[in-house]
Amino acid sequence: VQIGTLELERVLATVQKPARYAGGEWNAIVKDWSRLDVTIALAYPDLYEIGMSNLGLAILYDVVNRQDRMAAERVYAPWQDMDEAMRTAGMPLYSLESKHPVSEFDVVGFTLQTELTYTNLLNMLDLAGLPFLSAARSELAPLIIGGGSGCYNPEPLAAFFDLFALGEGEEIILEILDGVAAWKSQGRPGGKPSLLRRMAGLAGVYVPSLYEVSYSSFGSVARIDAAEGAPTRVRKRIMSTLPPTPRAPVIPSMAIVHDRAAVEIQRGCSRGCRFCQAGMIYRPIRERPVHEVLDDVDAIIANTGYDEIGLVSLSSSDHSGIEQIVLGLVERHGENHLAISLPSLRIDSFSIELARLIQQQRKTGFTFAPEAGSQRLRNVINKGVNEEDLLRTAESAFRNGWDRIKLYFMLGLPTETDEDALEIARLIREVRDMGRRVRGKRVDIGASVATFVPKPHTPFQWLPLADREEVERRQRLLVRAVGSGHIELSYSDWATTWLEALLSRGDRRLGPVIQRAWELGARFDAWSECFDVRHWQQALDDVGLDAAIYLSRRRERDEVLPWAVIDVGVTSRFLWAEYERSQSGELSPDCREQCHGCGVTVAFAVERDSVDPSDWGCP
Amino acid sequence: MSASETPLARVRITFAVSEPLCYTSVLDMGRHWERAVRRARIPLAYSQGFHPHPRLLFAAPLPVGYRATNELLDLYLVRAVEPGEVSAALARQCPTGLTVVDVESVPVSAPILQAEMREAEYSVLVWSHASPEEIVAALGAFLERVEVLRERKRKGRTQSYNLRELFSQADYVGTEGDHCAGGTLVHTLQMRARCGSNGSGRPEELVGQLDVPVTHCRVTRTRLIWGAEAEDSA
Repeated sequence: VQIGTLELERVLATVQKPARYAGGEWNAIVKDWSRLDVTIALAYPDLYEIGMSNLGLAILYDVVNRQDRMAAERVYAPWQDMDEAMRTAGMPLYSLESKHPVSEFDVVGFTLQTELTYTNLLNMLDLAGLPFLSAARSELAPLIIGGGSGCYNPEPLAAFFDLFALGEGEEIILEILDGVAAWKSQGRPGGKPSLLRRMAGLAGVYVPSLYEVSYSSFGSVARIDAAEGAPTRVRKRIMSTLPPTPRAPVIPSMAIVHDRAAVEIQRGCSRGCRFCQAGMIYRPIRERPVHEVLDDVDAIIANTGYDEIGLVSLSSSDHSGIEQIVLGLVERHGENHLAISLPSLRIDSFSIELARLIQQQRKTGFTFAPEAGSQRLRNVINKGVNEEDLLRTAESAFRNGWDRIKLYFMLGLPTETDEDALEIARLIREVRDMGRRVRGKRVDIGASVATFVPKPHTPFQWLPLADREEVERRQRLLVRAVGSGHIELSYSDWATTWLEALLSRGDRRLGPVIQRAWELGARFDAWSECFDVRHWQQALDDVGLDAAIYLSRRRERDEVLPWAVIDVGVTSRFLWAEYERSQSGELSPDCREQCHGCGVTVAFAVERDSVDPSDWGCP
Repeated sequence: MSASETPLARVRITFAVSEPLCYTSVLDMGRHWERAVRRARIPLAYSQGFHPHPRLLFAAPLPVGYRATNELLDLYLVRAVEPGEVSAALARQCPTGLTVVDVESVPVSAPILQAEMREAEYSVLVWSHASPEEIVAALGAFLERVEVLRERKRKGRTQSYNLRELFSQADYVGTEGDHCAGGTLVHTLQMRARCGSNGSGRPEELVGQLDVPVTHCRVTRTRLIWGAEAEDSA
């Protein structure tokens, strides 16, 4: 039963920014449910403005809706005023397309992008009228599935989800929906346990209830036992070549974070930065051919009317045809006021050249990520850039007319000392002074200093989170050393870092903690105006769990890590070797130049055999 | 910026707004139009300068939540296009909730609509348990007052204003025959209020002042009164 129009109108009349909840956008796809075999609600546990900016969801929406007998609809987390208005009106969480309650879908697929959305996820289940625990939901409730980068350690969410789809979702989502449709049409034989067993047979599907975790007396995971028929490890799925670009994406009803068309030009990154989870989990490198990118942009612009295109990848200037792409776009659309945005440029003069090509009209800020202040520490994290590169690139940016540069750094990196923190300050000041010399006037420098969280599936996965006192002392040192003078310095607050680390490094015992935090009122933890760390401290106390077992302890090399079942194709041996190289400050060059044997070509040998070897960045 | 960017033509679009576009803010409404115009390949002119932006101007921003039947929007074009062509091209590109009612050519140098705006007319649906007689009486009581002071926050400061003087007319039109669940009636009111740079009367604020219980209210702006037309009807 769909939500009534007048009912919705009355609720929307009472909230801020009702366009978030109204649906009906250009290019949205509304299907007749009587002609469908299976439906999925694609759920993003944050606001419309955030969720609508997610390219992964747009791809899945496109992939599913291409199927005649399937429908994918969207749902986002309502802000607090809407949450309250819906509860007061007794209105359940509904999809934007057909306005069906989420509980009436066959499948609800949550995108797990950041750990700080986990309480929103529970809140959405609650608004949908669905029990939190997988075990408490009957075979008639929607199958609750998760996908996205949060799945690379899904353990804290294990009790809430029926299954996780690991890796790239374009094929697996259809296999899951086909499986659900078949099971439904057969009259749901064997109930939910049977459905879950069928699902566990699909490559890339992790059904957490089929695994039993036991713990050691000092708090680590002792062992993980897979039920009969469930794989010991579940390997992520990849596409052997990049899937088609969604050429008619839904145009948001209001301004969103990334309010532009997007084409993914490359998946994976060859740089091998040791702190970077994305660089490890999205391997291997696959490029979209130049002509395909250009045709995609033509089609998207015609279908949407956007005046800005984002060329999405982890490292845009590493695409082997990036210059041809940019020149082609300027030639085809230059007179049509099309702005091109090229995020994640590496630090070299080629990037300035590219930026100069695309920013004929307006010069917004330039962003670089040296990540660490000292050469020693940049070697530890394998950020293959030196100070000379940075200063030369900054100089070139200033010479070409930019007067705003933003720099990204991290504190709390392994082996870091106070000296390294002071080096960040020195580098920031050098860049500013260079700007003043070149421009002969004031320049603005923004510096954003995040606190490093050692993430699963990286060479630093065994390490503890940096000590709070140390990080905060270095933040103060940095503030003092940077001084004033047109430098805007921002850094992460400890509580947010702590929570992110806890949820990304934890195990199943955190499930009750997340639920308790929600009960205590935690919502929108990524939003500083909503986040209250006391909810989480209280929740840990109530459950009787000590965060230190996840955060303060260096883990043993042969220890069973909570995410041990998850196989991203990169071997533990490779990660450990990279860790050891980090300790001696040894660089590992770009893997397009030299293979370091991370394991991806072995794990995905079948996929690689199906394409031309040169289609992948691996040598 | 090329010389071709100088606007050489201007068209005036009369359009209607309904769900779900009625939930859109005026800034976002501008973006929807801009994108629809680009999809329709209508040669919109851009402003000169550091941040060129498309030259489209609304007569009056439509408040979030309001429906409308006769809104006005001027598009400046880099070459003349037949109004019929603009209308046909846009009809295929308008999102749900946006309808082109009419397109006409106007001189590029014609006055800016926004500066000429005087008043607007509204049709207001009011869901209430009150009887038609009670609504009529409450409306009469409002109109008899000389001053109805209300406050609004603007840029952090609280301003007080006289709601009464913003309305030149407020009439009871009738009620829909059907009783909704719980005995709620849907009453139709018609209002005329100031609209423009001298302040704008918001019909739901007037309804809020009526001494009757109201569960919901739907405002539709039906006519914009501007320039010469305003003088005529004054």
